[in-house]
Amino acid sequence: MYELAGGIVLGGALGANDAANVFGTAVASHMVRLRRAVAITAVLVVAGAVLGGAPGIRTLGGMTDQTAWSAMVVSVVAGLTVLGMTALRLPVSTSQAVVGAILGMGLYIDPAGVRWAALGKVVACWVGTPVGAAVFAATAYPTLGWALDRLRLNIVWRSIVLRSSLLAAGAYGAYALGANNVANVTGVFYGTGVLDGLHGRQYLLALVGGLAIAGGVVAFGKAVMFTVGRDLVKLGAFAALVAVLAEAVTVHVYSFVGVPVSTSQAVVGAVLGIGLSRGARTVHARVLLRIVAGWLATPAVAGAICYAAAAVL
Amino acid sequence: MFFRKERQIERDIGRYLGHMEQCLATFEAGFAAYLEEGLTPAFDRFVKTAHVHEHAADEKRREIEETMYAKALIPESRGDIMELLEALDLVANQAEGVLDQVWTEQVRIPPELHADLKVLVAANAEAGRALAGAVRELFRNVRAVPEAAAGVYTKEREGDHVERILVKAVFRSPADTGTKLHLRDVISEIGAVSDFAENAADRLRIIAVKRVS
Repeated sequence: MYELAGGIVLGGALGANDAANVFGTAVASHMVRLRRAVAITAVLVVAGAVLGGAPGIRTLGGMTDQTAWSAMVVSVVAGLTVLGMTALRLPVSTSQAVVGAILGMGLYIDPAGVRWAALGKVVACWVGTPVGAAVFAATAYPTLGWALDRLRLNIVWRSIVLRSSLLAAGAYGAYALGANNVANVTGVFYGTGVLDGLHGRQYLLALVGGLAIAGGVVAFGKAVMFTVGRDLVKLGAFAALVAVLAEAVTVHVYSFVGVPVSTSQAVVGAVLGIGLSRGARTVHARVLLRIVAGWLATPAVAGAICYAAAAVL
Repeated sequence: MFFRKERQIERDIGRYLGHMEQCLATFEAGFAAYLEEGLTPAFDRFVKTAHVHEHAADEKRREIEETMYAKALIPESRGDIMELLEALDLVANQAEGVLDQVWTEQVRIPPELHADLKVLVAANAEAGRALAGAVRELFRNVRAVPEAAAGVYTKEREGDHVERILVKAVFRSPADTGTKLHLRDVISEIGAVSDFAENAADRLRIIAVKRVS
């Protein structure tokens, strides 16, 4: 069972990074108190993981044949890849690092055991994440804007409605994050024998993963929320609400599909969608390049490191 | 209680506008007393009363700003209200300041200018009151703000017109140059009340337009 430690550390890193995508804006702009945001995120991440995390855990667990030991190596390599690429300021996503590492390890253990169809489904969902979030945001921005306008709220009540909505969207985003991303943390251990013999082990894996993410949120969420949140604050409260909502809905949908995706890429897609609905007709090539590089470079780097680590160890 | 601070801001802005209107009413009543009786102790009482209302408005503005710093309202609304309050503050300050100027500098306005001066003071006080009404619309019906703000512009134009007539009359009078310049300064300071009201109305319109698609 000690092998789970690798996943738990990865979960902590994921929680620290991704909490900013759900409550960063509200906290950085002082619309929601940090303690409240951290508490809501921690509780709902665990709830999302336990209630909605099972499909993703089964997908990642079923992509290759792993042992408990190899799963631990996968988690550690994925964590180090995320850490290293973040330090080098390269685009990185935990979901893509984990899948790359699983694939690298799977290829080392038994290339014939890699389920390429499952991998294809995962990659399709990666592409669908920013695109889906962009479409949702481009549709929701004018629609919700129209609805908000019809309410004819004064400046104070508009503020109250937007703050409450940001709180609700953040809470939903935290639930969706737990449901979708818990598979990154403990999915690779599914089918490895860890926790075997215990009733409902996928839920136990989800609980362990959820608690690990929540631990990361509580321990390190503050600094990241303030840093990442400030970028979204520039959008204004309503656009930030649409961005968080688009990210949460997209990520939640993929948790039903059973594929862990990048919340950061969902946010980038949502912001692009808002830009397009506001009349922007061009998208910075650099933004698209960063997303595509994330799809290709992160799994390639994690996969290569994992393959090499497996060969050395 | 949810969103207590937000609702407190709404109530406090109402109270702030009340102090501003009392300051403007004192400005008008003070000049009426001055035109009727001159620089008497009764006029001094109006100067002091205007100061009390202006001070109360300042205190209320600081309270509202502190509540907003305590993380009430979404950031863009916080910024808008702060800017609006700063602009409103200049109106009450100016009304109080010009009364004080007349008393401190013992300004003596020739009787032939009294009728137009009364019109000038009324137009400027009206511009301030119209502004207060327009600000209230921001909290009642944001779509009504541009129309309410138009009342400020009308009164400001009226004031400008009378101000030009008065300045011309001053410089065509037999008074010495020093007196003429002094009188022109006082007339401009009275006219500045509606100029500040106009600036605040401009800000208010932008705040309103931003919230109506």
